[in-house]
Amino acid sequence: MKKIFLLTIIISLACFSASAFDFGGVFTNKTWLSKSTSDVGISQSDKIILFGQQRWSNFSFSIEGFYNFSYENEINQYVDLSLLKLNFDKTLESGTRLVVDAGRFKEFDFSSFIIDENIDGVRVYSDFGKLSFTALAGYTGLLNSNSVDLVATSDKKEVKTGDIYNLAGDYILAGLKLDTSTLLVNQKIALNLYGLLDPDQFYENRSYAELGLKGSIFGKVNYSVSSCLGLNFGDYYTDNFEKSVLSNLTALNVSYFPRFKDMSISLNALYSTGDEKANNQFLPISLVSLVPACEFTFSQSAVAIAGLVTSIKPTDNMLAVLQGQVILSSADFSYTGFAYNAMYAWNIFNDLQVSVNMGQHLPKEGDANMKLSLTVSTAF
Amino acid sequence: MNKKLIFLSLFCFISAFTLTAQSAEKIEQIVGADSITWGQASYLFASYLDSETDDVSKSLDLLKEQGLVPSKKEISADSKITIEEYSFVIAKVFNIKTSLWYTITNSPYYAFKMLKNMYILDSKEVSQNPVSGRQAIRLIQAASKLQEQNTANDSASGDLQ
Repeated sequence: MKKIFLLTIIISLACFSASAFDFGGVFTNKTWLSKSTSDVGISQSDKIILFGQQRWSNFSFSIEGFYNFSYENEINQYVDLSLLKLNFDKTLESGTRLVVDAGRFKEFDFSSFIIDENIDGVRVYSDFGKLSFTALAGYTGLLNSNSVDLVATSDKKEVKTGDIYNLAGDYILAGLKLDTSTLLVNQKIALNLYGLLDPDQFYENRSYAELGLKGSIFGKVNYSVSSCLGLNFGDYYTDNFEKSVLSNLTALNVSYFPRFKDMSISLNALYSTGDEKANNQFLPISLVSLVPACEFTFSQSAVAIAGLVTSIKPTDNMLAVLQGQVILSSADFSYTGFAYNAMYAWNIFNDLQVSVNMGQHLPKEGDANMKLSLTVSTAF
Repeated sequence: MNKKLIFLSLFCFISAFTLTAQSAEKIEQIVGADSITWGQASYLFASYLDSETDDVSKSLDLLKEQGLVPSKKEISADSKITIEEYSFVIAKVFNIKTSLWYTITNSPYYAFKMLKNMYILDSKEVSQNPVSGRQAIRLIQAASKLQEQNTANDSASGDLQ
């Protein structure tokens, strides 16, 4: 057994030295000051990412791991593998492109509001020119809950933190995606279907059907609109709610590019259903942080939010971004708060970036929260 | 198809440099090569630098004299040049210093990374890959174009001041 193990290692090493292994890393240091009415605190995080890639003809192997250290009232540190993927990419004689990913990779839907997270599994993508098709199957139970934001409602999937590697809640994910750009000129239509199944006797399950449309109007304006229906099912939902009803998340983005200093002006709007009394709260697969200065993860569940984001590059190596958001209740669209955020990034070298970020979240009720951060990042 | 590509590349290169018939033959050999040697790479750079040398070994000596090749490695005119070594010579010839780590270490690997970050090199390129003749010329052209743009931007900002 030992001999076979040694032989496998030797063969693997021989494969890696036979052709070049591309590698590199990124080190990021972030210091931030957060202030609510009652409390002021300084926090710090350091993250080191190492990555490597090996290519052989139509195959490639990619690996990326990181170590994260942070101090926010207490020390927290963890490691994770954010990518461990064997990839096959070939264009067949018929012109069809076939891509297969196996291992740990990032999966995201049309809007990235349903899922934007790593999974362990297999994904097959085939592009027939007029139509592309993706099928995937994966498992979430081997991910590190310190670095993923999976949504789990039942106590059994409680998120654990504190250890260097905590296993995330276990779900089986299946997905099917169709994309076409032939029905309307310059417009892409997508249909994404996902099922998130609880392997523990199908106790807490969710399903999603998302329809999206994006494209360009008059050359300078890009838009993207999507709507997703969610349906929760399983004993957890039938035990805690009277009946299973459909939930919805609808997102809109319109971006204008004036062709001046790489400027962009974007209008974003998002609505997701949610009412504590009924089972219509939209529960995505993974959370996205919508309000940067908020002290907790302000996610895309049970909220209505509209915002304006503008960005400009004063010089080739500088970027300024300003955004403002109005937050409303998803139940009756009443005003619940406002948030703004300003960011300025300077690429001193093309592998050294310094950025300053300042934002504030002003809820209608409760304490305002302010966050000021300085980030230094270098790629090596 | 190959001939067409060779002549297209040759045409682009000739438009940038004045060549004799003998040099044109050498350039044609380089353009057709799947992986070029240090001697051939040096010949291209020497031609770009307006050197009158028409010999690949002398071209390499010229680059060595000017400190344009990595000092730590034993290099001969017949040895194959890798993409990271070629990137190093490009960075030296065109005086590109946009990477912190290249500026500190002066190494071929960080010269290669620097050109990747500047989109002169393809993101899929691996540091130990060989350099084809066509690719070698295309990279010189890309770096030269970038240098011209930077010079134009500098003089425009100088005029404003």
